[in-house]
Amino acid sequence: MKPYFFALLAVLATGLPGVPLAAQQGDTASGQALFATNCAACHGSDGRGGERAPSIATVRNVIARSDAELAATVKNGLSGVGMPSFSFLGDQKIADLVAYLRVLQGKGAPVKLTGSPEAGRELFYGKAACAKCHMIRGEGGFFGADLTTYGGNLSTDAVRTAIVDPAANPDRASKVVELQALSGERISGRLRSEDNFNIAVQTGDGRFHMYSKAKLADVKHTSRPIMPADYGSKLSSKEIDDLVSFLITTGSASPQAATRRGHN
Amino acid sequence: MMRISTTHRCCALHLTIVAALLSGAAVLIAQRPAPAASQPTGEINVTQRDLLSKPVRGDWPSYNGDYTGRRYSSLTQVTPQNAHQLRAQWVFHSRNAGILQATPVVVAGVMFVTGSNDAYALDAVTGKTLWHHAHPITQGLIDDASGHINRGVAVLGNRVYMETDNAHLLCLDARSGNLIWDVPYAFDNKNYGATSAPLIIKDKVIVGTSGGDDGVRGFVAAFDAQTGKEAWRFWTIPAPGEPGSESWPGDAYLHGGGTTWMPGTYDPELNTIYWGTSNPSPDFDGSVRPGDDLYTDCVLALDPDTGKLKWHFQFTPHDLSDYDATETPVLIDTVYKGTPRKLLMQANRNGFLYVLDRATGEFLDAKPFAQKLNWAKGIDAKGRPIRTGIVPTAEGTRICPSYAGATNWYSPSYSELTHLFYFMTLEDCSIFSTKPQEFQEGKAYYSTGARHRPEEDAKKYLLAYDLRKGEFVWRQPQVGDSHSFAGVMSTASGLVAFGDDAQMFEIIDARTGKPLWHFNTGQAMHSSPMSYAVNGKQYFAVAAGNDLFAFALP
Repeated sequence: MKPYFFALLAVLATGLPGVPLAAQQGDTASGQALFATNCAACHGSDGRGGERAPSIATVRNVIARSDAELAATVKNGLSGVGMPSFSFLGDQKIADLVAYLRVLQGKGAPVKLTGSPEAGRELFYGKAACAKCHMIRGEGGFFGADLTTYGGNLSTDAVRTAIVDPAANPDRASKVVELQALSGERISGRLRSEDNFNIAVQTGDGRFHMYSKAKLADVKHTSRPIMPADYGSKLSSKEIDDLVSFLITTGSASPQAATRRGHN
Repeated sequence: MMRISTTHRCCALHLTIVAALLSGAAVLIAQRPAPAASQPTGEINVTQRDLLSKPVRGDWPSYNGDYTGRRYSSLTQVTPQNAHQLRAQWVFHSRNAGILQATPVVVAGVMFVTGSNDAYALDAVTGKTLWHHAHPITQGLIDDASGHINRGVAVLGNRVYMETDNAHLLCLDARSGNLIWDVPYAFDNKNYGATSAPLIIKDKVIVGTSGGDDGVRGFVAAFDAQTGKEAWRFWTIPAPGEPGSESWPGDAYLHGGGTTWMPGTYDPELNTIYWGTSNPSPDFDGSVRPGDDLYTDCVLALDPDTGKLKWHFQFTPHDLSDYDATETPVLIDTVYKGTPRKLLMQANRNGFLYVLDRATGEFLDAKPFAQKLNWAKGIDAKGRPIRTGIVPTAEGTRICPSYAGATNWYSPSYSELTHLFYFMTLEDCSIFSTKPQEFQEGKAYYSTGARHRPEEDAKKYLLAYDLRKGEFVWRQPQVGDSHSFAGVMSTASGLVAFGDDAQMFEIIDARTGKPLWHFNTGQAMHSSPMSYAVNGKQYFAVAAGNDLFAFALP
């Protein structure tokens, strides 16, 4: 929901009178301090979404906006959804904020790739077996996240960390959930949905297991990542560089577009 | 009527057997295990057998439930005796869609539903989201396509298929919502859109488009379900030199309409799909398209393997009133006038209810059902309308039914139990005006318009037609603002479920039409209802506004 939601807001915002603003050169250090005081409470300190507002660091539709459009959103706010106006900051500070937002989006500095994307692709679909769970442009598995656009706005360090230290991923859906039914049956897999009364867990065979918690003896959210934690030792540093290069290169390609034309 | 325990572990199977006995299919069941037994809850693997199963049981694997388009469920847990105990189970709220028009598809306890270009997998018991595939709406579309309407998915194996507002076919992984492929299928005219649910036939996904008021050239197209490669394409407007091309001088055929914006139905024994086509384009100026305007306002009988036309029947030749024939072509096997026949029934927007032989396309009968009907005096022995000569004019003419049709895409239903055909109708007229217009890409192509007469009250009715007796057995007036677009379904326990015209979801007695239960959804319904079962519990589901509601007994 979030990506679309924000895109709509952004469109609404750019339709407001008085925009676009002239884009100004921003100072990222100033922007970082301003972000912490004005934005982080809702959007999270890393801009990846919080309880009250969506991610503005990773969502493609936000990243694709021009600096002027983002500045207009910050200046005017988005009426009706709780995004206040920050016009009191003035144009220069707003430009600083936008500049820092670009850093959070991974766009602040050119990414320097040290590995070979081609070799990374071979590892992804071959020896490293990433494609057993992850899909890129329709090829690969379903159990892990779709990585088609994943690397497009991340630094090499962030991608490397995600590969060698999957436990660092804060997403609850990346950790193993264990269920024990009253009948004794045990299920462990990936969280798909949960509330006070119900839980849905998907097992590696693709099956959704949907339970009323009243039918369960135990629900355990482990800290164990679903993703194998031993890539750091299984792959050489060069191989990880290659994988990182592949994920960033492939994710930076144009937004997921039609892959086949059926006609003409 | 039998009440099925909701606590018994294997009641899904019981339900199936009870339903089978009721429908006289017990022999069939004895020969093969019930689908419920081979498909554990939560495991998505739709087989040909699931899709061919009729009537539908616990799963509702395609837009109309089964291939016949009858929207008739074999589930019998909810009965005329206990329907008053129905209560809401959950509400799913879609934040991205203006109005949900989808019929949910349910497989093994997982519900698939669309809102605009987004698809969702829900736990069918709780309504909670298992995955969400977000796909931005397309900017710059016109007319109907700019409403970003979507009517749902098709499922085969562990893949989910949907159309997008700009006429792409998406293939998603049913286990994750991941995009496997995205195939654009309408070219050379920006006015195409798509609103339908695709239809799976064997190893192919069959799609159509919208844009019949916008000067596109209609087609039905089939794609390989695995690869997305185009298998065939049937153009509904003939090219120069082809039969019917006399209606389309010059390049008029490129803008002739005849779009295909609702899923068809399928008879596996005859190996034929039945697909309705829309009005011709431009809507209200027939001077640029002389003759019958084939194959607009038709039902097409197509070979699903090749896309070859077997026969066609045109309901409204040379249409001047936007009388699309995209209403469900319902396939019914019954004794008709003393002979067992394979029939096709359609309640058409033009105000007549048609009965055809679906093996040959032979016209058998047409009954007027609209009381306000002035464009034709009747239907002749060959199925052609006998016109009155009342047509759109430059200054405007009152024509009935209205441009919204005497009925429309909202589903009809045929009950095996009562042998009645149920459908919602709209009694209304419009002022139709005409003015020549050039086709222009990026603009609608009505050649002027139709408007409601403020002094004329529109009114909706729910009709029940007895196919065997050839007469309407009841006609239930609906109170409301006549802005609802809600369909009808029926069950083997003798129920009809429908969205009424005052935002109520209703269950009524299928024989008498007597109301048994109603629930205020708080918003108009523009969708058709369905029924499914999980772990032996029967549910009804219907979309209203941008919410989806599910109901069951306590």
